[in-house]
Amino acid sequence: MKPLAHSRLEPGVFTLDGTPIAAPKGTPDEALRTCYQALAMDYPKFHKMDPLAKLAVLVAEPVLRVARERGADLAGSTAVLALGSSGCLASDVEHWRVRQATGLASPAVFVYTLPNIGVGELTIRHGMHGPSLCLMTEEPDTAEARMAARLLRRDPRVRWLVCLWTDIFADRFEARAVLYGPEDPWTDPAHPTALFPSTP
Amino acid sequence: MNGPILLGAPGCVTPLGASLEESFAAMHAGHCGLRPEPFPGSEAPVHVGRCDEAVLTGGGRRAQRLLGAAVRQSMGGLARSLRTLPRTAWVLATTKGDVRALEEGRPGDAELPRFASRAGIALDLPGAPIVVSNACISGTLAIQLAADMVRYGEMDHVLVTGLDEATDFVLSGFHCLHAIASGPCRPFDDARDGISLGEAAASLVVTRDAGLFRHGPIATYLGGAMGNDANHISGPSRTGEGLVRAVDAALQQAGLTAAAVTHVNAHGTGSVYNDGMEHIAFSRLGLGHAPVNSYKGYFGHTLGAAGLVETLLAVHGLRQGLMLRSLGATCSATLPGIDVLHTHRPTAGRTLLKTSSGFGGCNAAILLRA
Amino acid sequence: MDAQALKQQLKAQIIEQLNLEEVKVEDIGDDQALFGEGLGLDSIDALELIVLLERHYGIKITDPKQGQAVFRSVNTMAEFIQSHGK
Repeated sequence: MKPLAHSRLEPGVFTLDGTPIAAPKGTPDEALRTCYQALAMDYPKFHKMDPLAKLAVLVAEPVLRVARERGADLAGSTAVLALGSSGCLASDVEHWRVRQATGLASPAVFVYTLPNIGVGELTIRHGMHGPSLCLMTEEPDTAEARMAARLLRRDPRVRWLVCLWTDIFADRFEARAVLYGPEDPWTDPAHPTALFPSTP
Repeated sequence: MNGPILLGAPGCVTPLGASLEESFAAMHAGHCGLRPEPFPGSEAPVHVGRCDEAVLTGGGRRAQRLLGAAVRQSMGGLARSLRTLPRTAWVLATTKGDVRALEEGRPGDAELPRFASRAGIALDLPGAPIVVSNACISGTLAIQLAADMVRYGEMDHVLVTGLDEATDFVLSGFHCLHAIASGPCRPFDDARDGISLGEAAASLVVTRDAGLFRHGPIATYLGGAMGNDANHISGPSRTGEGLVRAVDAALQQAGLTAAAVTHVNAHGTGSVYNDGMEHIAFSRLGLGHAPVNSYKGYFGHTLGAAGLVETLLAVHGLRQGLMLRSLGATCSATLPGIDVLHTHRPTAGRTLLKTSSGFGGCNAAILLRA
Repeated sequence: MDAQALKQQLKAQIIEQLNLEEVKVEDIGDDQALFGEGLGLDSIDALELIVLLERHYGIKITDPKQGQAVFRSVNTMAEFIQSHGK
């Protein structure tokens, strides 16, 4: 079983199916801005997002464009599985820093202190009402993650599945997105052997 | 193995008791576990539901002790040890886990996979933890995920646990959103003005093997689903779209119509917009006949644990033919078309719809027969 | 501080506090609506503006509904600060 599209975003690398989209350099903030500009998204809300949500929205954008081209019904029949290890830790630390420094908390920071908010931003940008699930795992490709993907595909509403791995904290960031289509069989518990392809 | 998907071996710790029976009895007696406490940054006190420290036995971090107190009850309700059973999984539903570690200057220890692994080893839980962190629907979604694992033959038995603490981290956040109620929260009341935060841990086991339960199953799982609003990350949908889609799909999986639902235990946070959204969704779904309540007026919003602990309490009530009043709701005149429980009421039916909604615009619905 | 300087300062603070990356001070009109069709701010931005008033001007708004009138435009914010400021 192979994904229909696969994107990758990490320092120096932003690719769709191995083809470069941008060369993100510098701090995570600068790198993500480079990717945003390369995608010509025209989505001012992007700048208000926290690092995790930015990463999720950016890495998913190219594979969701492929999904649209292939006629996927993003509103009704596309599910999202979001995986990550650090989750929203960057916003957690920032929320607590502001709270300690000023005695007040920042509403715009606090609302991002949940690891599923990046998926929320994704569903808002693309008008996706289908099921989503946010799991915290040490690695992108665990047996539990693959099982969760199979279960999402079992939902009778779902024909398309996007799997995300997004991890960002301090100066490191790493993200993957894959798109699976309606033709892939998902009833065999031995499949998929990997959610994210090992080759770029 | 075929046969219905069963829930049993309940365990919980709430601000109102050290077990399901104790918590339910206190609620039945009309007790409220929300207490005013001073809050740095706020002139007025805030009402918070806190668990009794005396029930948090065992070692380790407070979050782990809270979880352990619930899990030990579940283990005690099983005829065999989960550790000896193959094809057994463990799910943890939480939003912030041990966020106190971050407050104490050790953010790495607050990472959820790390916290869950440590707690799993300390509490001798089966398998690698499957950590569901999906805002305030985590508990309900974890039950759905576990039931799907059993339904589609991925696992035979699943221990489902949920946990969240009432911390300054979370309180200060909801405070800056101006989301905290001026007194104890009043879900589905016309004068509702915000939420109250609580804390809880809860656990149960999902399996098709009725013999696993020492005291028999407490409910049959009928169906469940999730839906997204795709509208706003912190404001609920004005149309209830995600919740309507979740309930519709859950009914479809269960092979039921809305008319078959005899009781709705809603999310009911006490915020003007959340409860208003649920009113719209339940009206759209044709659930006007089914008495609705929220338990958050009793012990607050327990975040990632909420769906789990509230499901256990609602099932416990239905098994006694009882639906508890929605504490804090005295007048629901502005919510026409839904039947908010202003007093405890007997029920003839035992088909429960449990719903949860959360930040990110996520919604989950499960259907159970008690 | 005179009214014009206060308004300029407010615009800069709004842009910074709300991460309005693609907006410049000169893009915001004194009487332009900040919410809805105007600058397109939302409910979280409104709460952030409440924090801004408290942090920079020492003015507390306890009821977010009061904020709706105050945050209509830069003009209304400046008037509010001048009549309530310490």
